[in-house]
Amino acid sequence: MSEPRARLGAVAAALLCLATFVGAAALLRRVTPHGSGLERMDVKLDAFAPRKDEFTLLFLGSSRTIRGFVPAQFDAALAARGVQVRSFNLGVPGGRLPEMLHMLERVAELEPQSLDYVLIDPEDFELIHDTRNALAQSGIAWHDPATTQLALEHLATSARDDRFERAADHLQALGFNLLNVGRTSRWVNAALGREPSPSFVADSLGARGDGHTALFDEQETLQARRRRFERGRAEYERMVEVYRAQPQPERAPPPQFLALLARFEAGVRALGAEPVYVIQPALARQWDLIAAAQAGAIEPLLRYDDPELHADLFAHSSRFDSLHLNDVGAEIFTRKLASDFADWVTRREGARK
Amino acid sequence: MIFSELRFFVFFALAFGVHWALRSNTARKRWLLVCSYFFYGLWDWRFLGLIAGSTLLDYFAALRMRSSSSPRAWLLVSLVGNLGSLALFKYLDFFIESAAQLASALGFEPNLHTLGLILPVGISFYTFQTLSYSIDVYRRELEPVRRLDDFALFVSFFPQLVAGPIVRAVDFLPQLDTARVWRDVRVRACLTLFLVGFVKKACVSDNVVQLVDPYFAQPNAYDALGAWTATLFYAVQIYCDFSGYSDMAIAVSGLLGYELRVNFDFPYFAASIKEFWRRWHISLSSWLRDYLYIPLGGSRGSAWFARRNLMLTMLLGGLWHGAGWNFVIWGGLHGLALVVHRLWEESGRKLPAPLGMLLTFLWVCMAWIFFRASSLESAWTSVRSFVGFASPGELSWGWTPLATFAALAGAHALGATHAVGRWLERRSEAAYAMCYGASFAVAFAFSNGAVKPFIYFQF
Repeated sequence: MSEPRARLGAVAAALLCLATFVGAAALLRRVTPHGSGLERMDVKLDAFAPRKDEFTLLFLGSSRTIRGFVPAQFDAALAARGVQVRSFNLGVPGGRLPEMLHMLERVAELEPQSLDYVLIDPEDFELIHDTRNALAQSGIAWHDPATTQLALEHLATSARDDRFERAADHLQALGFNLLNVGRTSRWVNAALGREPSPSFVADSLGARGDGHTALFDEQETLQARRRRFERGRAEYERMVEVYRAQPQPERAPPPQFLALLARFEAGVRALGAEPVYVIQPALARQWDLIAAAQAGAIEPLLRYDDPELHADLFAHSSRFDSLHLNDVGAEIFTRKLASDFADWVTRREGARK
Repeated sequence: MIFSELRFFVFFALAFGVHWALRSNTARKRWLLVCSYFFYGLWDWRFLGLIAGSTLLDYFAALRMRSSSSPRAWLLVSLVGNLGSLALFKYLDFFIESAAQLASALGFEPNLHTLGLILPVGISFYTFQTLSYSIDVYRRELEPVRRLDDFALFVSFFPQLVAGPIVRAVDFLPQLDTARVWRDVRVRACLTLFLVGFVKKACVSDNVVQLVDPYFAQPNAYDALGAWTATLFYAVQIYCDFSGYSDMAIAVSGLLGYELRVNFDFPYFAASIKEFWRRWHISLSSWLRDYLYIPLGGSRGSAWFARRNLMLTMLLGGLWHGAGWNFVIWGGLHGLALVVHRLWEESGRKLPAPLGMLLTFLWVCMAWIFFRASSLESAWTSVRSFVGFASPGELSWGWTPLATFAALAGAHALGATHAVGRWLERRSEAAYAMCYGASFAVAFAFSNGAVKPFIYFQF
């Protein structure tokens, strides 16, 4: 065979190889299950799946949601106001807005029939660049091309010193996403006899199996954090003062954040449900979300981030630490949320009539 | 950067493309040298000086062996330089710690401090490579290379720089003399070998580690079945990790036009421990044979003398793997098995091959416990569970992983027949391309997102 013809043949073979690769990867993406089966998101969704039609309300968020939102109390408080809901806590540790979107997509694939409301605490958008979990299955999963592009666009306008490292992390996760890296980890774990331990399942689902748990207190690192917090009451109160004095910056929310919120909203409505945005009490401002609400991009936004209006939620006795509530705080927060939520539902129903 | 990482694919595409685009052999070799130093510098650029120093030392020492009246002195310079840097970076802290432990056991209170030096990646591999070069030149089995850039490429050639195979100058340097020709590259064989290596590393080793690591972190918490599971899977992990790396190294090198020797030949199917060492890490075992065992006297002299040489070689081979008593014990167990095997051979008796295979595999697995355990105490706990079926704890993964182990063993046995490789070789170019694309898609899906460094990088 002549040299040019051989080269042409090699190029054709390479293209055929690439095309088969892409086709096989697309097929695998359709047939492989989500997640590894071992992450908290998987445990929660696996528990939710068989009971998906029982629930009418989901709350998506991070560890703040896991600790702060108590479904049983919420449901009872609403029932007392004549609003019937059955809620499930879908908070996951370190959950960020793109992960919550991924979770919503997985919920949508289950085709729940009874959902009326999806609550979300999306937290600070900047946190999506915390890439420590980018190569966990849930991290890889949200790094689809569109979301990664938003993350990179946001980084490009950022003044962060580590933006190149973070961009490299996002790109690596995108590469893993496109190549389906780890997509069979559920099968692999099953073949290796690996399954979440009973204590991990209990940690993830809580005593009532509704996703709320305070059992993280059992973890040694968190206990140490708790002890530090207990000792540092004066320091915490000083932090609250600083937090209280922070003025709202005059800036528009990042367009990438708004794009993700719009995707969330569309996803929730496609499920036949209403989105509700929540800011939980924590010493971490969410100005972008507030600005988005002020600009009319989202509605309703139920806020619990003002220490003057919600002194009881910011009281040292209500806190596990500066970011999370303890059981006392969770009960107060859930009660307040239920009351505000019931008011909103009543107003909404009234407006409809 | 490791071969199963995405950035390696980008790096290699560039290295490969420019290499074959260049016309002159010298330009290609210099390009590969730049790539090799870049590849090594990504680990830690500070150690580029060390590899450059080692290169210069052996390059000039070998030249001086020919021109000087006392070649032995120049050999000594090379030995001291190479073994000295190995001793400094790899063994000094171990010796200091051992001396301190011995002294305190004897009732002294020594005030000894370790240096805490970082172990330069691949130092054990390239040091052995340059040592063999100096020794071969001294023995007049090889002419010293005149071109410094050729020699530097031999020492730093990126496909095998950080974890072998240990390449002999006599195999590699002649390949540098003539320009590589693309027509001579066995592209299909190299691509298949790379895929096989990738599957071993990314799909098997990186996944089974999830059973191995939890067990060896707390062997006291598991039952005997857990110990068996972890030990068998560690045998799988280390084989797939190291032979997978070697496969990929040989494939990558082959795609650049340079052939490297096979480093693993289905060692777990060896019917004796002697055969195991002819199939496991072949480049190291042949190095130890040629530059340690034979110079010690080999099997010449009395039977006891030969056994002593075997034992010494394996103990030092164990120490080569790591600065720790567990590695010495691992080497000792293999040395002991080799001595027993020799006695058995001398008795004229024979074992049926399947029984020999089983006994060899179980002994190798038991020895791996010392290789993997974090301490001697934990190794002993694991050995008690593995050999004595003791169950110090209750954790277990049940029988499922053992079924998976059996499936992996079946796949490995199929691989040993080379039937799949031969079938692939017979396919048309289009059919091969499609099989390859689909196989890589499946391999990525079964790979583990958390990229783990190759086990042998630490040596």
